[in-house]
Amino acid sequence: MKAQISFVEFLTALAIFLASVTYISFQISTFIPNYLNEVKAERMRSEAFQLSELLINDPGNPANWYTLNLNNVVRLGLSDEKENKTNLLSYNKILKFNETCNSNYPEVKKKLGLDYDFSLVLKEGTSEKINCSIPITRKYTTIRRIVAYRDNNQVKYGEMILQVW
Amino acid sequence: MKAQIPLIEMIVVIIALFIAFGILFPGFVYKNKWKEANILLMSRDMILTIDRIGKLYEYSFNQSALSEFLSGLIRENLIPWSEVEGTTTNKIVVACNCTEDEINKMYSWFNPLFLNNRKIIFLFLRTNLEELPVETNVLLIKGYKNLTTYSNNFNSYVARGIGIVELMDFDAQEKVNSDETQKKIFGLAWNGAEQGTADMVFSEPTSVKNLTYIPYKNFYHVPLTLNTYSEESLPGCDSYGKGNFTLNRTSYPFWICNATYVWFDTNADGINDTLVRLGGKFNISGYNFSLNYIYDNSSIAVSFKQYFRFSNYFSYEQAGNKYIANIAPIDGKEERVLLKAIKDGKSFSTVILNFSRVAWMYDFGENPSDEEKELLLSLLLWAASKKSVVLISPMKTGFSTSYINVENKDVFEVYKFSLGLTYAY
Repeated sequence: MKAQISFVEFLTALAIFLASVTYISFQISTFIPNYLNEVKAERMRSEAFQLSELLINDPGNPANWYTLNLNNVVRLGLSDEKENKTNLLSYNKILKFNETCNSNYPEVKKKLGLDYDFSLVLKEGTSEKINCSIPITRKYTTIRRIVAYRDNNQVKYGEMILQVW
Repeated sequence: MKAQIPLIEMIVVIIALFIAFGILFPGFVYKNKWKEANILLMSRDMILTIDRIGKLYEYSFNQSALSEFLSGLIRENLIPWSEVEGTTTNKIVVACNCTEDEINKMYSWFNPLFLNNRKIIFLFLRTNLEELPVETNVLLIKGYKNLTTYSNNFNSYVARGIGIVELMDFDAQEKVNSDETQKKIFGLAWNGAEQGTADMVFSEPTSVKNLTYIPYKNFYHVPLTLNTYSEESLPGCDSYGKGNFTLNRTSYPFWICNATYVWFDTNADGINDTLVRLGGKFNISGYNFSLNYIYDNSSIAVSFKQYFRFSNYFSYEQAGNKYIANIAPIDGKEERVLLKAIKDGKSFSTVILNFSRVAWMYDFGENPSDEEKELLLSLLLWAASKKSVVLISPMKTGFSTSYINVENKDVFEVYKFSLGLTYAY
């Protein structure tokens, strides 16, 4: 009788142990791939946000880069260095960025210090002031920013759509 | 058979444990706040962009303009709302125990009213003081009335954020000292009376923190509307419209010349002598003014400039003699006095403010001068609540971004504009 009781106890303990191990293993095995994907997505979102901030609120280095040869440019940024206000872009820089990005995408990516590929569209209504996009090949993240820029003494506004993958 | 039972038990226990674990230890879920961060970023971008395009002041107060701007940019089922705090609202509802005639007069005094190019609408509604119309911003009490029985009502109005302005003259001690409302809510005390009349001057606030600072600033900056009353054109002028600018009971005629010029008769001889350009300054009887607005042929708006003196004040008349009642702050705090009459070196308060946007002002009667209208306007603007919802949203959750803006065309306004966004589902 004593031996039988010990066996039942053993079985119960074993059952609890096995159940715990199986449950935790199952949870971890299903969570880890999602977690890794989320971490990657977070990093991509963070990179997209930082890139959008850099484009909108940094004038670039040197600040008059749009007048220079791309080889002499250290960093690209669209902020109007004369106004020096957040979310206010330079129209000259917008035009130059669009031209350069469409003709030399790899160099622009390099000047932005990006590991990821990106696509940038700046829309004012239906008109696109910047359209620098390459085909998206992977899962991507999108960030939308509202910006203003001065065009012929008139301050206009538009939506900047940045995609990173 | 013996071995089968423990086996079945074990299976049952395992299943039960799995269910218990599932309930007690739900699976790992990675939650990010990217959605929330996105709408915060979007509302911040929108406010900054509105500011950059120079429309922040307009959009802060203009519901349709703001809606139009946002509708072109908002996606993803987002619902916006906006609020303005810290400055005069677009619509001020004044509940008054006035007659129909008095209400009509106040409409003509304060409409149209533009402040920093923004239209302010006064809505005057009648009340019996016991109940106020919905959305009342200010309660205006015109003429003497024993207010003791309204003490609880007034306390509840003040608690609801409703300002109170009373225009009242006192000719006996018991009218002040025996009235609990006058003592406790308006903070007044009767200190006797003296025979004669006197000029009134402002008690100049020494700091922006002073209670009297805002109405004082309003008086010297908020443009007062002067309506024309006849069609009269002067040679060389395109427009027609003649009106009177009445100061200390003396009328100084003016003629609207065109969209940018107004002729003034500054010595009250009936002949135009000073041509003033829109935005320009002019002088009448030693006092400085500025021409702020010209509305077609119908009216102009002028603002008073420092320092104006109100003349020949008295509180009441008895047996043909004029008296000045000595009404003082009950707590002796002179910084609550906005306007005072000076007689033989002695001060007699004529406008006393109290905390919670409550003010007593002498009663200027049925036909006030323009400086008295300006004084009442300054008090009403001060007493009115300073918070308004511009863009109403059915949702009460979400994230909002605040931004401090300033405007200084007529009067220096500092206010907080908040733009909120929330997901519809």
